[in-house]
Amino acid sequence: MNIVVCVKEVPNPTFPVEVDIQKNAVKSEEWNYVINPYDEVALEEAVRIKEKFGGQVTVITLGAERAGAILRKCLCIGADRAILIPSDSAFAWDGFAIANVLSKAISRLPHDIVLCGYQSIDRGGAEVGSIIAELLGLPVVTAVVKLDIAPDGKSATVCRRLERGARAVKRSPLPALFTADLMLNEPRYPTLPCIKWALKQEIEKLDVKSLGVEAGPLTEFVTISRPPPKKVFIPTGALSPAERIKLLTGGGAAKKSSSNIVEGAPHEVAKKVVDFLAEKRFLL
Amino acid sequence: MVPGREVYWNIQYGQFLYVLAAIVIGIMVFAFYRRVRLWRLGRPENRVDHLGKRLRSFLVAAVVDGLFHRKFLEMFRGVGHRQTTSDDLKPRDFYPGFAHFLIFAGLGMLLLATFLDFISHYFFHFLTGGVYLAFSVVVDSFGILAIIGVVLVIIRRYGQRPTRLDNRPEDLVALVLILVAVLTGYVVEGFRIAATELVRTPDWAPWSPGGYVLARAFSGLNMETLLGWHRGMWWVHLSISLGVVAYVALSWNRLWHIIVSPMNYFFRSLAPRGALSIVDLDGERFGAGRIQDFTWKQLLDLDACTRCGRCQEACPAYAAGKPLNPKKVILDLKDQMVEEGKSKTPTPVRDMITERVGEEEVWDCTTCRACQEACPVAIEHVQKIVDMRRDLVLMRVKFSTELKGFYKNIEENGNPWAKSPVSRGNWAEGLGIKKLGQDTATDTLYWVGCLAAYDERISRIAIAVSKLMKSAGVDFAIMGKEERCCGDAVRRSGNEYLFRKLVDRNIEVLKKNNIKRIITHCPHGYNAFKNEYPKFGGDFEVLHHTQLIADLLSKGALKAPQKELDKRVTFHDPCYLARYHDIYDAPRQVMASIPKLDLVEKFQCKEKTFCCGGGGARMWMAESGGGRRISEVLLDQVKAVKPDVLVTACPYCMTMLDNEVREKGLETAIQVLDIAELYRNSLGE
Repeated sequence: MNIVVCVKEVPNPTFPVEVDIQKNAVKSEEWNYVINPYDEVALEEAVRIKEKFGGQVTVITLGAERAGAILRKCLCIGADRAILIPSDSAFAWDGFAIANVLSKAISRLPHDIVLCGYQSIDRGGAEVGSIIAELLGLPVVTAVVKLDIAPDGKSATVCRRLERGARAVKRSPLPALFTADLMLNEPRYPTLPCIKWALKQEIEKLDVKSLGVEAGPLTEFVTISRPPPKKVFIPTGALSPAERIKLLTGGGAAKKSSSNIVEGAPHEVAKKVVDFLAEKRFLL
Repeated sequence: MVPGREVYWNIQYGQFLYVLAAIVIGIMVFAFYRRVRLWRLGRPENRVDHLGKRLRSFLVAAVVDGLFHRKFLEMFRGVGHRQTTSDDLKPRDFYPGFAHFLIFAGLGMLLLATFLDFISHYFFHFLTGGVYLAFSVVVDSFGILAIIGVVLVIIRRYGQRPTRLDNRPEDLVALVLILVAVLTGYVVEGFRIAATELVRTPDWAPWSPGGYVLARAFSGLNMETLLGWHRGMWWVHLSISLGVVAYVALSWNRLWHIIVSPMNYFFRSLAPRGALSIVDLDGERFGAGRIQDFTWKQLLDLDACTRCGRCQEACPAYAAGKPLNPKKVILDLKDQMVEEGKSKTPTPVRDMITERVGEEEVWDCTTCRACQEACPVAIEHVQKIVDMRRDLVLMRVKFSTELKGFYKNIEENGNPWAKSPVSRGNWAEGLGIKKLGQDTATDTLYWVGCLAAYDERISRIAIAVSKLMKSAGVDFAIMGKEERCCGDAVRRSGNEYLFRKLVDRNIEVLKKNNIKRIITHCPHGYNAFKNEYPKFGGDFEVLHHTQLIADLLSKGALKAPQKELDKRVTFHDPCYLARYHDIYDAPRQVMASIPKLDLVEKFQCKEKTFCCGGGGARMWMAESGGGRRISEVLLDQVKAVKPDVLVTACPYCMTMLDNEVREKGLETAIQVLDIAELYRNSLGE
């Protein structure tokens, strides 16, 4: 089972982000990139399939030279091959332009399954996976939360996330492309022997021109408008240390509006929850 | 006639004894060799470095601990190889110490007597006349002391039954064997005295009090019977004594501790207490997942254990009802060693961590070092536990989700929180504190640490410390956004690889900025810079803020506090300050400078301090394994002395105690403060 996983480097979400509206890019002097969490989940799934069925996992990314670092991390997690398509302008491309390049690269690789993240956390377009599938002529299932490969390796049964907690189960022949939702799995922490192995591997490079693509976006960037400021909840000493630790390790999340939170004695809470479920027709 | 000892009196072929003794010694050597082979399952490790120092401290310990049992030498506190520490001379439980001393001294004296007899008989005839009588009375009385000692131990073990002792058949066997060997000796002596001294020179007889009593009982029998019984009992005593030695040797009875425990003390670690072993990252295996991954010395530790249970009694996790029991860890590993020694297969019969010691046990440890402080034979528990964590983290990747987030945050943000390094210096804004590289060229760095940088409560400590340093005219700077995790908790949780990345990065930045001196308010950072960074090329002068404040106060650079406190204060000694570095006078000096501060010491203080439960990366892990929170047990000790203010000198202790105080709704009754905050509050500004 040969699997290709498309990954992307994204800015570390914990860093303060400022957007350069002129350049259509994120700006900051201090920088730290991480692997897109959705892609990490896709890679983890690919490695798990490989461990079960054998084969090879290839990770591929389109981006700046420094993205070699996240490919290295993918090798640590269990990818066998890593391909970097260097481009200094790709960060500003639209979904089609990126998918176009990637699909050309993937078409040269053996692939029974192509896995992408459902979306990237920086732009959140959630379209690259589907366009790649279209360009390669593969069936596609997006937002996959469960992926079962048939023992004969000819088809896959997938469960995909719909709105409001609903799920749909689909069956697809292979080869196919799936985009991974965050709930698909919990990516592993690499072992030290794996890290040491990965440090010795070479990152292959593929030139955009050699792929014979007329690279370039189909759409034109006009402008970005600033979203309304989010109120960030900062833990203070008034909270107990246990709660502060929870907030700090979780990134100091914004406090949820209280409209959906039921409070009170346990039996009252239970009753309200049941009423809510009945009202929404989850209970018959 | 002159009193003296007639060797082999009434005995024929007595010299046969030497043949038997030679055989028994052979058996002992064989048994020992078999054990050496077990220890050699382990990896090599150099524990014969600093031979002079080892020998010296071994001899001191042999005299102070061994010959006299330090309990009785309490008055000589401070005598020894390490005068600055309380490590080697500290009070122990009286009862078991006293009983052990009686057995040790009694049997030691009997052994010495036999040896002197041997010298006197074959080489230099000095045991004669008055000397012999004195010799006789001393030896005889010491034998009786040994019997009393055994009886005391039996009462303790089977009457009092303290929880820290687990009774196994070998314990009773050892005690009974000692008793039988000594008693048969007295019986032989009794028959001899009854047959000779009582008849011919009755004045001499009371000089052997033990034998004399029995001789009086035997007297009246006819001479034939006495001589016959004497001869019979002599052989019985001989065979029992040698048989005991042979049995003890072959069954690897606990009495082997007589040899192995001193050996273990000789080979003990001379490294600073807070320095963990370095993992060879170029190797194949990291940490200890099999018994063979430990070093030979770590395996010797297992046999040195006498199952005294002092570590169990000292362990905060055990006290809180967690699965961890340091004594059981050592004994489990010992079982594993024996099993692996016998096993012919290359893979372990049972997995050392998951099936023998237990994963929960490995993660329960706070690395507070209370077990090692309590251990009389220098067993190193913490290193073994960290080695097993290293295997779980680096080889198997078996650890809790919280730790995964912890590592990920540190890798991506340089701190355990999901917080950006860019905002690391935000707490210092508006305080006029210099930042490295920007506007300063000082060689003194104030290392703030992750907790103070992001946690609002802890950053108040940093604010207090920097304010007082400024008022004392200390020229210092902070690193601001250049600062990263120091790696203490990362290393103690077993992630040596991440730790090394942090160390390399930190040393590079510190050297680039020509830092010579590091001041920190965190005992964990203090330990990391003092004991761990030097091994990787980072040598800095390191000061904990308690030392700094005490020093500045004594020099007069800091104003003496004016405001009367008029409160009961108790101090919680952080493990990494008190037990790891013997710093417990400095905070007390600071407190003594505050007018009307009523210091009450907790039940466990100074080097015996009870851990807060946050060390060894435990602060970032969820409570596990049932039982109570360790901090809950600690707060009970705090509450017992009814303080108004609970002072500590560690961000971890502060976090754990602050949380516990709130958990129990005591935040108005007990104020939790850092020593720097306490000082600043007392200035009356």
